Amino acid sequence: MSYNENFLVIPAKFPTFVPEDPKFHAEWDILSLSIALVGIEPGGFMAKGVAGGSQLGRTRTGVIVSRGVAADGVRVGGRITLDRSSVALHVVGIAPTATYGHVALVYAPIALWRQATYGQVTGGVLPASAQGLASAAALQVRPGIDVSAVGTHLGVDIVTKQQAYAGSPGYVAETATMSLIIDFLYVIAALIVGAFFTVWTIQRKADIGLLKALGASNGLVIRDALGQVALVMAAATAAGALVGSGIGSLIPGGTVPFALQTGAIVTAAVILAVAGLVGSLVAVRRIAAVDPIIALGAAS
Amino acid sequence: MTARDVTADTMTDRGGLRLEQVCLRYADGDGEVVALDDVSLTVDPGEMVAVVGASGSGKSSLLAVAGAMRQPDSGHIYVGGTAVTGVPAKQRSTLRHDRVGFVFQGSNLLASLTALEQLELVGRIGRAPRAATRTKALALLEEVGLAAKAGRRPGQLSGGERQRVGIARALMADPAVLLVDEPTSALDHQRAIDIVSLLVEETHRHRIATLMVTHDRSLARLADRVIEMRDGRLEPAGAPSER
Repeated sequence: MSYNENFLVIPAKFPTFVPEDPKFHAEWDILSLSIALVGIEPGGFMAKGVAGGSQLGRTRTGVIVSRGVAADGVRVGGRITLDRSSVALHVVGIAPTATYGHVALVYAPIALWRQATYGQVTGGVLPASAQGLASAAALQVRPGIDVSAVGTHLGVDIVTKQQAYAGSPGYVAETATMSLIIDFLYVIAALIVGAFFTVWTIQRKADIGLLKALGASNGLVIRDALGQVALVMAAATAAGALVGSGIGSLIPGGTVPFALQTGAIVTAAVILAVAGLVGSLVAVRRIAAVDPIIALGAAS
Repeated sequence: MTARDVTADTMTDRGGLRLEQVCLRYADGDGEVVALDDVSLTVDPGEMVAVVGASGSGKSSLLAVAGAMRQPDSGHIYVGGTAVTGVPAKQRSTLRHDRVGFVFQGSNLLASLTALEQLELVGRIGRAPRAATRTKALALLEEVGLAAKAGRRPGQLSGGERQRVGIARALMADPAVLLVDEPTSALDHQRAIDIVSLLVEETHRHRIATLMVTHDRSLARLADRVIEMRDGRLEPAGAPSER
């Protein structure tokens, strides 16, 4: 059986799903931590997606912490205590960086999660009414299944993984802000490149006039200029991508939400080069207006 | 090309330079300045004509229209037997490359290119074969006495040497007409004489129609003919004995 996508079932009217904030304050040794606790079924597909997930469920209180928690000094074998419920979590593994609303994740067996989440006001004792409750459930479905029809039938909302990300706190606002900043940077890059090549063209005005006086047509001079622009843009973009990647690789991924992806770098470089070329067209247009007569009376 | 142009083509053999009743006016505030006033002039192949005159007399305007950089308001201009008046800009670029050589004031070389590359640039503009262009460029540098300095950039050459490179560059496309703009303005008197003498020599050797504008009457005397320009009009400068 193959699955094409993960879906998340989130509460609508279905009584089994009760929304809960997964964020907790916790203590490790003398440190105070903020964690986001996620309950998953040991042995289920979600556990298989977590590095070291096979450790989950071997003990009732064993949890796997993501690297952001480990960065605070938490080690395998350590014990984390949740502040209000006093539920103890024993660290049995460390998974790669994962966060929910910028808070590092801790993966727990679903039963432990229920005890921590619904037992906060009862000193860690799970009320009978909370048996079987969950905030949401993850689904893996076969291709072709109409998940929206299933959701309507059950009285729940079913969303894609990407839609679920968008539903996490601040995600849309933050990504929209970042996208806006990136888009503006492309526009600014085009303006800067345009300004650079405008100054470049003005400085070369005498040379361009000379070339025209020697018989070079507008087309030849513009093609020559565009060729030079393309070379400069390619070299500058490649250098920028290398320097950016170099500096980016120095940023610790565990503490800063930053990832270097080849596809994103290549896409940004291509957009930057194209934006630069568009910006330079304004400058290149000036070349057509240079009068060869300036070569007469010009000093070398 | 008009019937008149074809007639002119046959009239001027390989083609020198001919201006017929050329007028050029510039707007100047509310009024206008007459830069060229009914100018007629013929420079035959193998002849060097010097035009002398004060600043603002119209010398540069004369070169501009003769070199197809400006279209006159009226009159006709024939360069190497081809009419240049009423011709679109792109064709005038081609004509400038194929039939006109320019020697500019202060040489006007590109600072980043060597002497050889300055000449090869003309070949590139005309899309001439690379090997033939190099051979010709080296031969011309030899002709102006700069074969040994072909690899030098303008900053590594003296003022006289730069102007020699400029002359060699002007000869690269085998022009019918050579237009020379104050070629000695940055040179001492002896070097100025050397440069003008070289221009005379090349004019005769390549049978080019050369028109040189200068403010220096003593140098103008080295030309085959001297014409005075005053307020946009051409006047004979007198017999050789009077110069």
